[in-house]
Amino acid sequence: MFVILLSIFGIMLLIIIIICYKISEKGDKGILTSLIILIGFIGIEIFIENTIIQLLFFVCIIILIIYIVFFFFIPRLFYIKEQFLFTEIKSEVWEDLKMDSTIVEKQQKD
Amino acid sequence: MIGILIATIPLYCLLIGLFWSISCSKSTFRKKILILISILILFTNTLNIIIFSLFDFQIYDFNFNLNVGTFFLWEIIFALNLIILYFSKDEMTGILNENLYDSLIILIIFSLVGASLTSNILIIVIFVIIVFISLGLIFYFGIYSKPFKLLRLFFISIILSIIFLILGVFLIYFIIDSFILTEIKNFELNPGLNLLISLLFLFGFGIPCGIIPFSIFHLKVYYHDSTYTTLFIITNLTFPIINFILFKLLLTFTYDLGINSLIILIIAAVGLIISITYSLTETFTTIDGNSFSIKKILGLSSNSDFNMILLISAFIGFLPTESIKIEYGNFVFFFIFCMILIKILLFYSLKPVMLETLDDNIKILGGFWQKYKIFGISYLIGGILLTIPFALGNILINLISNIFTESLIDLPHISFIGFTIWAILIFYFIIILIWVSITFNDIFIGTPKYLKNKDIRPITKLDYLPLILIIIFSIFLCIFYFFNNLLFMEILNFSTEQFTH
Repeated sequence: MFVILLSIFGIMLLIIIIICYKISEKGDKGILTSLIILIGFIGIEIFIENTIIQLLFFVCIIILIIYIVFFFFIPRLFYIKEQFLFTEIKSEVWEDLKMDSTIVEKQQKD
Repeated sequence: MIGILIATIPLYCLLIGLFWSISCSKSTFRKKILILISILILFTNTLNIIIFSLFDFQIYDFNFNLNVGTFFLWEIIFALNLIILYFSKDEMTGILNENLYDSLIILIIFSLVGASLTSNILIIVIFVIIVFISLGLIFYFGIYSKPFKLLRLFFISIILSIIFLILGVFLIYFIIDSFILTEIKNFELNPGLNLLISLLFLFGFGIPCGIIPFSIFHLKVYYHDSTYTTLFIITNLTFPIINFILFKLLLTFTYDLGINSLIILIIAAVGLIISITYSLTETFTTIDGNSFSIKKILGLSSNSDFNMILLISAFIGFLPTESIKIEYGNFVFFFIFCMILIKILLFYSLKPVMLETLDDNIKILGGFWQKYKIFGISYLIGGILLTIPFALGNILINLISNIFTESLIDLPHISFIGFTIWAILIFYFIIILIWVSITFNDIFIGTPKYLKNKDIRPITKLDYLPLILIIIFSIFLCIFYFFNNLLFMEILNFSTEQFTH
């Protein structure tokens, strides 16, 4: 009974996440993925009973939170281009940044 | 197992809402779905409360505290979620990255729900850190773009609080080797370590919330430049719930040690004096760049509320017998819930100001009485409701006669501290009455000099609904409290072991 219920909930959540992933724009996919990982980590931490592993996961989660804030939210909030601290990164964040900055420039022209 | 899965349905719904709000960029469609999900969450949680209270049902697997008390707290959080969505519909539509704003709000609510659910201190810390960082991020959303350096101090305070929390967690790991609150409580710590751990958690939770003395300076910028919706989230949703969790944590550390309670008492008293001074200078003067901002007055006054809550809850450590501790703890819970309700009422009554203008200077605002009488009346009722049940009913009749005159008569130093706290409380209510009447006079009666917004949405009947509901609910709360002395112990299902050995 428990396995059936759990699998039904799991499948439902998975379908919703896939739909959200399909609908979402390019830049939001990064945030979505890291949020899923973050919530998964917290979920795993709830079910672990060993304190050392709990502590390890705690450190991982803190690092993940810092990663999400610096690489997804701050760039998207401020549209920082060249001055941004991590200039060597060539990920979808940069593509996204370029897209956003062109939109802002267009709006300024209008 | 099945019970856990069914009882945590609101959490799944919140997760669905979170992913949905990130992925959907169409504003109106997303908002409709989010409101639907919020109503569904509220409905399922109400069902949970009914089922769990009817069958006297409790679940404590995986360190989850699934009982009526937790669901009661969730109900408040979910009701606030609906009000926030309603607030943001007016103020935050058409801004850049609107979907990220909505998703951050849901993330905050998810984290608060999670932190109130678990009794594992690691997970509480993780959720609180997520809440603090999200609070810092939602400040930047709005009609106008804001430079990053505005919240420099706020982020420094968050980093400080994260360091304190991580230190506290590691200390607990090395000394107790367990993260479960009940096991920590049963472990006999020596008084010095106990004090150190409780202070680390107090600083970790308190610095971003402005509970610690001299830590409200970073919040002044936050209050002044944020939108009303963001201010509502920070003062009426996150800070009270975090305060509640801190209160629960401090009970596990310092419930029986006089010296720990004394230090926390002193910290809270100094914090109270500073926050009251700042809210009064904001209301009356222009010293230190103050600008009579209603947002700052509301925010700073809510900080003084939390200091007051800490002050009266720290007194539990001095009380001698268990029955007094339980009765007093019940009063503290009543105080927290009353504060939350009345602050929401006062804040919601200022909705016309949010709709009509972008100015927040109370000397410029005015003339709202002619158009918005009901909001003005509810603003006055908020001030009266807060003071009369406490100052007249509770303090004079119930608590002083029961607690302080009979049991503490042989302990003069404790009864002296007790009476000092009650004197401060009455003084504090007088200050609240002063600023409620001053701001009412300026905003609703005075002559208007502000710049009006272009298209002002007319007030509908739906706008009055939260006002009426909050007033009725808070009156019922007061009445029930008078008839049942241990109402909150029963509602929150707070085990009496929390207060005793």
